[in-house]
Amino acid sequence: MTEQSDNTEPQEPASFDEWLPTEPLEARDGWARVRMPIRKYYLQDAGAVQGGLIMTLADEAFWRAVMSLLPLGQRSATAELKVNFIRPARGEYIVAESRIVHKGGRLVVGDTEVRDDRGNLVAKALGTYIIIDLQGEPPE
Amino acid sequence: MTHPNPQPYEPASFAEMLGTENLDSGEGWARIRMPIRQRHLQSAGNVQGGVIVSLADDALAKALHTLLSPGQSTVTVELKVNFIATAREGELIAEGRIAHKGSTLSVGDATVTDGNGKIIAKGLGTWMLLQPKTPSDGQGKKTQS
Repeated sequence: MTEQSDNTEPQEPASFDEWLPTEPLEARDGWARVRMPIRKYYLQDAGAVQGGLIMTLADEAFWRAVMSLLPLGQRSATAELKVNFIRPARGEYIVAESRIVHKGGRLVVGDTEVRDDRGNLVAKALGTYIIIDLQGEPPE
Repeated sequence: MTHPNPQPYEPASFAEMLGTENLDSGEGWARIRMPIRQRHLQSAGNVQGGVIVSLADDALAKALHTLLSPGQSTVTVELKVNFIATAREGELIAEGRIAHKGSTLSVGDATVTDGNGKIIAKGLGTWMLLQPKTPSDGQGKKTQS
């Protein structure tokens, strides 16, 4: 790919949000919902949304659920995420709903479900986030 | 948000969207590479976790495909990734190795490293093997259209 593209070539997205747009629907009290519109290039060979993208959306909803519980000055990062893929994701969009099941001083455990636009369960995730303060150290 | 060019961003495939390249592969293993671009970074400037998962998934799927017969395909049933370090620039390399190939389920592990060999993430996943659809199941010929 050339760095100097002329205007006939599509330019690659400048940011993650532009590249892989998701819409936050709601987030409060350790709970969040995020929607991802499906583009045709998200599909793998069998015509379903690629698994990594489903995990990206699950992670995004999980992160918003975590952040809804954190005070200003704390950030969080995914430490670990496990997903079971239940059925292929097709249709217009997928929605992830995440619920925090435990918040400790350093670790947060959350449960996320991803559904297609008909409400069918596509994937189920369980993961761990680590809380980081803005200096980069875990809080006391 | 202004965009200087008139064409929408529409990669031809998921691999092009992610920006991966195949490095090499052999019996039950594969390595792929992804140069880190601005679009891969989340708000803190690190490669977003799902991108790392996609790389691990892709390397493992390629590793498994080296063991398949013509017509067989696979789907990811389950994947777990531990994120060990952040990555901000340079490249990421994912190496997938199939630890077990059964008749229905296969298990593989993936390691994602940066260009210096530092481990960024480890993945372990399960794939289901899909057999090619055959018109006959042993009880005689069935013609479909």
